[in-house]
Amino acid sequence: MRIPLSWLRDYVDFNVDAQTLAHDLTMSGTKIEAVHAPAPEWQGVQVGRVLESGQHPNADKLSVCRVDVGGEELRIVCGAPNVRAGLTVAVATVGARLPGGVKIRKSKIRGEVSQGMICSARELGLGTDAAGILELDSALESGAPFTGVPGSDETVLEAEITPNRPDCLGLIGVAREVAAVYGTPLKRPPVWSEAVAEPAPVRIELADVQDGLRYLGRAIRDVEVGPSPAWMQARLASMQLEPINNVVDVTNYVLFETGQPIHAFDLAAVRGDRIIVRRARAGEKLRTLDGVDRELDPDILVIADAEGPVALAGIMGGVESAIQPSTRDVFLEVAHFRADLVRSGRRKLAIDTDASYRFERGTDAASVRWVADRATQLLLEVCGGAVREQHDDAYPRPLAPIRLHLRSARANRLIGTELGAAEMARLLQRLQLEAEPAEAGVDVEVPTFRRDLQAEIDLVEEVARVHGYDNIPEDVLPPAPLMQRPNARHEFLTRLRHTLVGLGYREVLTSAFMDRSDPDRLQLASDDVRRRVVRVRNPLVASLDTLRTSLVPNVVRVVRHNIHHGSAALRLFAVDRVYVAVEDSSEGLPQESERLVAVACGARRPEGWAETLQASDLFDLKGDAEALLEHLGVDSVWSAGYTEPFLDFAASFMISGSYGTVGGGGLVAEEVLRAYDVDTPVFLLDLDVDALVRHLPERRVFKGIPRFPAVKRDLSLVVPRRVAYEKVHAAVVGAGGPLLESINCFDVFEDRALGEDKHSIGLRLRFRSPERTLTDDVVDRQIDAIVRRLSETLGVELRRL
Amino acid sequence: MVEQAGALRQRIATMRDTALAQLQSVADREALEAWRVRWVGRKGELSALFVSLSGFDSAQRPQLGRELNTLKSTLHEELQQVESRLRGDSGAGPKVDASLPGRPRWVGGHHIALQVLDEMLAIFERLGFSIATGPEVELESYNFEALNFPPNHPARDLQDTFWIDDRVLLRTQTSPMQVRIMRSQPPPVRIVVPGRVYRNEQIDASHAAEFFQLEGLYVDRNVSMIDLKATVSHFVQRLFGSGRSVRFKPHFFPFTEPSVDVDMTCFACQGRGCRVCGNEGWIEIMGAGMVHPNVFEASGYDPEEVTGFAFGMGIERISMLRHGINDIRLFLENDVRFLSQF
Repeated sequence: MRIPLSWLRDYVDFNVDAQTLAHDLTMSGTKIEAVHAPAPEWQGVQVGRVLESGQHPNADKLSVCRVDVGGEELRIVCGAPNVRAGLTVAVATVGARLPGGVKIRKSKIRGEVSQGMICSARELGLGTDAAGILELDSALESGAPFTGVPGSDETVLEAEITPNRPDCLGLIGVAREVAAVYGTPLKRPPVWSEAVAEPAPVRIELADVQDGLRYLGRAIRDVEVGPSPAWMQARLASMQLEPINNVVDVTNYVLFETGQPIHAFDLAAVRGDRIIVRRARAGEKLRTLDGVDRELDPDILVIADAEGPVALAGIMGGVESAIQPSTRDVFLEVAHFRADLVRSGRRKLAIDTDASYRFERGTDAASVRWVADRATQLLLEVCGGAVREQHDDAYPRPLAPIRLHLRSARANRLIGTELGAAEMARLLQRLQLEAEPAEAGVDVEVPTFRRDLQAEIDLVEEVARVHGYDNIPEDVLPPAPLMQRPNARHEFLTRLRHTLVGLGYREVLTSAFMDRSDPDRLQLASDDVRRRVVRVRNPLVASLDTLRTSLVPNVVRVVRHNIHHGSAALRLFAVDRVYVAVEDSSEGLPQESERLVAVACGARRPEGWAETLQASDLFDLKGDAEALLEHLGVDSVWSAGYTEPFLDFAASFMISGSYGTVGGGGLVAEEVLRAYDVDTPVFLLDLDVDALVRHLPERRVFKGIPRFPAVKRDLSLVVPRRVAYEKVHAAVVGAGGPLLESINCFDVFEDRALGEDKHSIGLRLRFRSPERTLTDDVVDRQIDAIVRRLSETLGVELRRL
Repeated sequence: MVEQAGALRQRIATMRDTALAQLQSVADREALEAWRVRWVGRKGELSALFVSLSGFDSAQRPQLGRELNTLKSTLHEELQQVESRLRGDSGAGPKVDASLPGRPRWVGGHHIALQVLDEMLAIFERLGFSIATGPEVELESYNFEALNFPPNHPARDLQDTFWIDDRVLLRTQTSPMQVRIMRSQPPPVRIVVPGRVYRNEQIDASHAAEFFQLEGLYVDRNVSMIDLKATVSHFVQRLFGSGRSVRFKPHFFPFTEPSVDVDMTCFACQGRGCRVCGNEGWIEIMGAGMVHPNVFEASGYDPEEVTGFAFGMGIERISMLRHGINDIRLFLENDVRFLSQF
């Protein structure tokens, strides 16, 4: 909402500058977002008329113009698309200085002399429009100094009006707030009041009567349609509205003044002698003022004459009944429609007008008559004519007045004040509320223009803001802590994230949306649960309408982004939500759960002088995954091969625990990487956070530090390649007996001498007894058992050197 | 002051000459130790010069400090050389070149938005707030209706919404958790709710369609706006540093009344007015207010029995303010050149 200060002064006096007023209004609840200072004064800028505009010989987008600046003719090169002969423009002549600090010199532009500049609004400091040159009123005399455009000499505040305060969508409402802030009186503009005897020429009929519906129609005869006076045009310009004609300008003026939208019909275009407010009938059509043919239906409230709709109630008038230059008699409408009906109608038709904006937030039904008299006053003043007949004012079910009681104890309890009832009454009276102290509180009769005040709590807020929030102390200790409820899940997620950071991974935060095509790109099977997606009905971008069921696509996109921007060695992770549609959930909502995805790609270590650069491989990722789970204390079983369509099965591993799969990792399949435009190997870990939580140790119990030394034995084994390490490991565990404490694979060795299909694996075994120091022969017996088992079951032999 | 700086420079030069000359005549380890104690020892002459630095103003101190540091490293280097000479070292150079960089390691780090969120949560946890999280795909009834947004009301236009179907949406705020929590437990309640929220808005440098919020809710028998202001004031001093104050500007949210926008003293200019705060001296950091009686009723609490405050703030916005980040799109882009700065 724009608030031109000179206009505001018509309704209230204030002796502060614009900045102070902006601050005081903001602090009392009318948030001022900007203060537009009046336009600067221009030196060396003149009104000019374009005599001729021709193509620049050396530049497609430039024109060379001849411009008359009052007896003198200038040649000016201009780049604006809207320059044309006959236009009245603002010309910055040589020597002029523009508000941005630009100084105009005589120059050559692509070989053509230019003796000045034809200015856009932005170059003149008149706003942000730089799309073309500013087109001036053709009545201006060329050569005259440029003095701005109508309204540009005005200081304007820009206010954010919240939906609860439609009364402030008119300047009188804002003036009321100013009056409350400074304790000054409100000034009312003059209204028409004459007695007329003739009966109303048009009868108002209300079909579909609801509470508050009101429609006043008045005929104004013999007007002269033409341009409105300069003062009115200037005021509309300060609202950034183009003048149309004096009748329409008055309706707009009254809208900004009072916040009550009104409409003027050409009375001659009203067929029959009645106006009906009713729901549209299915199939009815109306061409509205914006030239669009609209299909109507019974959800839309219309104004109709005897033959059909002439306007969309509260939204926009029809073309047929619009005011024309030839209009002699005006039919003035001032009405109150139910807010939600206007809202659903305009939403259905996808239009938003100054009128519907106000109606859907609520207008003042009780002020309809006053606004009609005010509009009549201005119409007669500006367009001539006369009122000879009575109006018809249909208001069958007036809104009941709202009376509230405010308990001062309740207000003080909420605000933290110790105000008395009389003080509260005084604060409320400053807002033009009728407030009287009464039994431990205040009785309030809510004025009709403040129907947002519906309950006691609304009055508490009014007391608080007029009293001033600065009066609330802030140096009081915050309230003492309550017993807290631990959030184990949040704590675990935090611990998980911290552990990954400790392992050298960088946390990323990606979009909750994935691309529609991501399940295909991940090669998910048709019955994969991650195809049960949740879709948004109204996405920003059509392809991004799907909530992610996996973190993988967006994390891979981050990898791609960074590789493309020069960072090829990456360790990244995300712990975040995925969303899977479920049938028969208790509230019909999808299942939301957290997953962990970590990726490693590029060099194994950051580049340094002490090591040669090596590429990361599966075991870098797997080692980090092992460290993560060991740190968390998760008791897990690892095996080769993880059936995940986006991983290369041959280079993958699966992690499971006693309650099922926890997740797995591996090399991302080549086709998948290609689908995401990544051309280096990426190793990826994908874990189910819920499964991790299920496998967490409840409590770790101290086992005692071993008192006896361990016996260490190294085995060098020749292993057929078809035998996976995990089989060897299992066999050693199986034959090692209770004294075998640990197995560490310390070497994997390739040697042609062993034969093509064999390699050597070095194992370091530790044996320990909790009761005594082990002797060699005890350990030897276990080693023999292990070697026998390996040989018999797997064909694995000791290496002979 | 100028003479004093000149005098100090003179003393530096003299000390350099004298100390180095004396060092030349040192013949054994005993004499070397005596030299060390006199010139570069803890109470030696070099220390005394450093102490005298505190008498200079902040304009001169850095330059003089640098000159003193140069003297210090010269003396120490010469000392080392004499020491190795006395020890009988060949002087063939050090065994390792300790000036080479170490073996580099991967340096992990948290995403800046989550770092800031973690810090905020820690502050509120110390104030006795528990952490709760809830669904992002939410019922319309929790996101709007129970929060006192009447159906078909313009207040709903304040938050452009992504809809799944007629009754399910992507939450536009973390506030629906207020209702979920109150329906699940009796008062008192003191929770913070972190989480992602969604707005169907065109994305630009300052608007994101998905971002994180932190919601706070405190309900008890006699909670007032004083408690709100004290809590928020404590919070901003912990997150942005002491000396900040907060102010309330009246505002409108359907689910609180009174409702306020909370400003804090601009941290860049301490309230004098600068580019960061648009010359205001104040920066808007959150919306807040007293829980609306209709919300209590929708949650099964008796508004005559309990009162409460609620607040909500955008994590990215606060991170941008605190760290001078100028484009919200950087948060989801995850360029490591961005991530690694924090």
